[in-house]
Amino acid sequence: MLLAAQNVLWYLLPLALAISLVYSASRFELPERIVHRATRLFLQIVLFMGTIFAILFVLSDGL
Amino acid sequence: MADPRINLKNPKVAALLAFLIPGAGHWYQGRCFKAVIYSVCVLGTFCWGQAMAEWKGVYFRWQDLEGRDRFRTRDRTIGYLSQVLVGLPSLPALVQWRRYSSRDVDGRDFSQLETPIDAPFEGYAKHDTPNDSWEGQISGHLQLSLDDTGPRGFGPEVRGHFRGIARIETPGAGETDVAKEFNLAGPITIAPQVLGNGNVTTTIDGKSRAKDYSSSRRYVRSRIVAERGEFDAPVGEIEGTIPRAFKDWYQVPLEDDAVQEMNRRLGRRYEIALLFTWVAGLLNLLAIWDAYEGPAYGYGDEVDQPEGQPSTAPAATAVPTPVATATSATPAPSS
Repeated sequence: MLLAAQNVLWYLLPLALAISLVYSASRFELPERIVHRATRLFLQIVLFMGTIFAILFVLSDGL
Repeated sequence: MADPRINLKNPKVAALLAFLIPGAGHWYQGRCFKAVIYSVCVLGTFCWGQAMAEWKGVYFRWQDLEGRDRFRTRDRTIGYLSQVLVGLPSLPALVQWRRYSSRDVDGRDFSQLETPIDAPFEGYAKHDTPNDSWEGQISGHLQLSLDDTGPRGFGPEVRGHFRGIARIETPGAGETDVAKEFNLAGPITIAPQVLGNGNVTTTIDGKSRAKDYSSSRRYVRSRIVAERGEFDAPVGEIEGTIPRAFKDWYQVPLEDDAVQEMNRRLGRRYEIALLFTWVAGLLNLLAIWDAYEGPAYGYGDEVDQPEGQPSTAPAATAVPTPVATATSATPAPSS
């Protein structure tokens, strides 16, 4: 919450976590597989968003 | 086709339960781990979004406020089509839309009361007569009711009474609390009983301030009157608020000025709050489908194949089937 107060982008982390968990739970039944898959998906989402953020951050430098 | 190891019980009942309360359908099927995931994630996301939007992010509106049947995107809460998938937590919005849109539109100039009012009042008053002139904050009890015939047969009129304490600033003595009691009569301005968020800014004190909006408070403005022979003469004015019940503002449609005020005050947080509630609904759609049909990819213990090929069942369960089939299908050698 404190981080989110600094920048609204931090709200995307819990949102990405919820999406990863629910999406993975709707694909598989085994708890271990759900957790494993959700972790991987969460990291993929964060990595993807982080990359886009970094690219935009660099491109917007000096604007 | 669901994995035979998963007992879906009655899939239609499970899907209905999953729609009404996220996670309930899976709980009914005995899939408790998934029930907890769906419940926590969907309800958590929904409630977090609602809390960020000060519990005013979910409402339904499908018509402009004047009741004209014309299409303007801002008159229609398209996002509610996603929010409603969360089920019971968002369904009150449909009832509130019905209550909100069924009120008398002409009554929005507030010349009439919907129901008699008997409530605590907080606000400001100005009283001006030659021998009793004062102004200040007042708090007390307000009663308003509609007199159908009017006191002198001139037609319906709203009349009322105030009794309470006025905080009056007197030269030399500072602020003092004085008991006051007076009668009220029209014209009376009162915000609708059913309203999501309304302007409650005090203006009669002459101070300039930013507009103040509230859901839980209801705006009231009325004249103070005193008997002057046969007629009532206006001798002052009160302006303030009375409480609005939770059931009269929660998930009630916001009017345009209230939406603008929310956006101005909360900024991007309001948009993110709405996003949370929309995502929660869409996530529950996955949960509903899972309750009805089972997991999309399988049980989860299948052996991964190279990309492009479907997963196969685990060795322990996959091996016996082809062996049994081959054995029964092969004719016994004849001697």
